[in-house]
Amino acid sequence: MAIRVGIPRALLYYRFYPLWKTFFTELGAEVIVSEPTTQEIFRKGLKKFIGDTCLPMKLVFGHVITLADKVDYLFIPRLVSIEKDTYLCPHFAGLPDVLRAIMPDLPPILDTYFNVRKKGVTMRSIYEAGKRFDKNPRRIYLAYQKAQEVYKKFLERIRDGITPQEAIQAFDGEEVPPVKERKERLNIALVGNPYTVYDPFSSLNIIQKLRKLEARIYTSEMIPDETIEEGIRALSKRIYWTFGKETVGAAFHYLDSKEIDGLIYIISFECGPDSLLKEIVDDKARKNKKVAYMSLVIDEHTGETGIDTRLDAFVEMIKRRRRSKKMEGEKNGK
Amino acid sequence: MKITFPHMGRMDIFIKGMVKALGMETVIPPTNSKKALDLGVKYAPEFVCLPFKLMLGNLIEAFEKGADTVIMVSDKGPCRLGLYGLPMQIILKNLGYKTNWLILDTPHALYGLFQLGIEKDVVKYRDKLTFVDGLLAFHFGWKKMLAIEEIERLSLKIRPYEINKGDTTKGLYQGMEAIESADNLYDLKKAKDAVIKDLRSIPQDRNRRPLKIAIAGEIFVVLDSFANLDIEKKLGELGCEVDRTIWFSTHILHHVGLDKFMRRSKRKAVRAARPYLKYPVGAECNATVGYAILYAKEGYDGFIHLMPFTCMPEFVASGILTRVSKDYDIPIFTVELEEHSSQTHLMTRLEAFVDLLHRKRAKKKVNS
Repeated sequence: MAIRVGIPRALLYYRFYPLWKTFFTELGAEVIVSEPTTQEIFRKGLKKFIGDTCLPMKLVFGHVITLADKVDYLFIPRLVSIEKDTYLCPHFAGLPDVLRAIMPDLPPILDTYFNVRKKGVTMRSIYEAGKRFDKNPRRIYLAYQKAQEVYKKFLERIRDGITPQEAIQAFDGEEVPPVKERKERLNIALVGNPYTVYDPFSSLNIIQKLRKLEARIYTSEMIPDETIEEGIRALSKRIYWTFGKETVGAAFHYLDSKEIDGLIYIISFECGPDSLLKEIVDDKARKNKKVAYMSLVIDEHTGETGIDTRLDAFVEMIKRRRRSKKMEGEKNGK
Repeated sequence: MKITFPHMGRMDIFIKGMVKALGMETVIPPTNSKKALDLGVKYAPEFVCLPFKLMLGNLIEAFEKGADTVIMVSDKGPCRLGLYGLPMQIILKNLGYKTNWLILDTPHALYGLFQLGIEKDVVKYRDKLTFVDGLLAFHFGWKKMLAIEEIERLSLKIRPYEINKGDTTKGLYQGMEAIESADNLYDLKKAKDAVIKDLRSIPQDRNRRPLKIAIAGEIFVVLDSFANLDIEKKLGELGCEVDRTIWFSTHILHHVGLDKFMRRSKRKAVRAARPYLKYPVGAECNATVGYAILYAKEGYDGFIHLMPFTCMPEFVASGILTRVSKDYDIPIFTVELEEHSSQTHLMTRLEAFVDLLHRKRAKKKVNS
C-alpha cells in the first residue's frame, strides 16, 4: 500500500499545493488533503490551542487534528523563507515544533527545512522531503523537476486571470468557467495573505460574494514579481516578508494603474506583518482619489451579514462614482 | 540637529552618558508613562505590538519638545521591529512633524550619522571630534549602564528579604538618580559604591527562604519596567527572588559575540532549546525556551514568560513552553502585555501563581 501523506488545507496549501502534490505522487505516495474548513474543524483546533494568534494559525491545528488518524506522515515543512532575501512570518519557522509540542501523539511530521533566503532551494532539502518514499536521489530530483513544471503551469493559469483557489480546483480536475465568458462589470483588486483571502471560511467567502456583485477579481498573484518589486521601490526600507511584500507591491501597483475601480485589503486580526503594512497601504490609498479602498479586518467572530453590508456599500459607491464620472464626461463633451 | 530616540528599558542612561561626554544636543523623551502610551495607542495601528505603541508615544512627545532627528535601532527581520520605521514615518508625517530618520539595522548604518552631519553638532567645546573621543564617550556610557544594572541586580536579591516593604525600591530609584547625574568616571564610581552600601544596609530578615523565579521573554517588555507593569517589584514584594535573563549589556555582548564565557548566556540557552526547537525562529524565541530549561535544571521554582500581545516569535515560544513545563516539572506563567493590561489584574494572577509555587514546594518537602 502506498504511503499516505497528509497536507492540511491551510496556510501555504493555497500557494504550493500543486507542487507538493505532484512531487509526492511522482514518488508513489498517496496525498490526502483535509476537508475544506468548516466551523467544526475550527472548533477542534481551538480546543488544543494555547495562547492567542491569528485565525489561519488556529485553523491549521484543526486541519492537522482531522488528518491525524488518516495518514502516515504529515507534511508541514519548516518554511523560513520561500524567496530570496525575504522571510515568512516567524510562525512558519516554528510551526512543526509547536504542533509536536502541543500534540505529541501526531503521526510523524515531515518538517523539511526550506530556507531559500541565501542560496535558493537546495538539493538537500528536496532529498530530505522525499527520502521516506524513495531512496534514490535521482528519482527524487526528477520528481521535483516534474513538480516544478506543473507548478509553473499553475502560476501561468493564475496570471491569466483566475484566482489561485480556482486554479487549484482546475488542477484537481474540476471545471472552472473561463474568464472571458463571465459577465463582469466592475474591477476589484483583492490583496492580503493568500491563506486568509483564499480560504472561504476565514475570508467569509468574499470571492464568491464579489462575483455575485458582478465584479472581476484581481489578486497579487496575477502580476509578475518585477512589477511587485517596482511597486515598493519607493519605500525607504525593503519589506522582508514575502506575503507582505506581495500585498503592498500589488496594492501600490493597482492603485497606480488605471485597471481597477476598487481595492480591498483583507487582514486577519492579530496578523503581525499586516498590522504594520496596513498603515502603509492606507496612506497610499488615502492619497489616491480615483480608486475606492476598503480594509477588512477579519477574525472568527466576524459576522457574515456585516461583511455583506460593507461589500454592498462598497460596490454601490464604485457604481455611483462611475455614474458621476460619466455625467461629468458628457458635460465636458458638450 | 536635535536627536531623539525611543526608550527601551534604561537604554537612555547609556545614550545619555555617551552624549554627555560628546557634548551633543539630544532630546530625551519623558520616561514611559500613561501619557506616552495613550498617544501611541491613539495614532498607532490597531493590533500592533506594545513596543510600537510606546515608541511612537515617545517620539511624539520628543517632537513636541523640539526634536527633529530620530535614531532608531532596528534589524532585518523576521520580527516586526525591523519595519517599525516605515509606518512610524508615515504616522509622524501625517501628524505634521518634520522628521529625519536614521535606522540602524546594520553596523554600517552608523555611517549615516556622518551623513546627517553629526560632526557639526558634536563639537561644542572641542575643535575636532577624534576617534578617541568617540571611544571614551562610549566607554563612559557603557560603564554607567553597567552600574545601573549592577544595582538593579542587587535590588532583586535584597527585595524579598526586606522588612519594611518598599525600602529597596525607594533605595533603587534614589540610586539610579545619583548614578544618572554623575559627570565623570570618578563620580560614577563614588555614586555606585554609596548606592550599593545603602542598599545593603536596608533592614532584612535573612531567615526567609524566598521562592526563586526567573523572568524571560521578549526583550523590550522584559527590560522596560513600565511595559511589564513592574513585575519584578511585584514579585519581590510577594517574597520571590527574581532573576532576569536579559539585560541590555548582555544583549549587546551577545550580538558582538562576546558572551561565550558567561554563565547564563543566550548562546547556551539557544543550545539548550535544541530538542524542542531545531532552528532559530527569530528574536528571543529560542532563548526563552532554552532559559526555561536551564533554570528548571538549576532548581528554580517558577518561570515567567513575558510577551507583548500578538508578538510573533514569542507565540511560538509560548506554545513550546507548555511542553517544557510538563517535561521539566516547572510551572510556567505566560503574561501577554498590552495597553489594557491592568496592575490589579496582574497582581491577582501573580499572587495565585506564587501560591501555587508555595504549595508545590511544601508538597516536595513532604515527599522527600
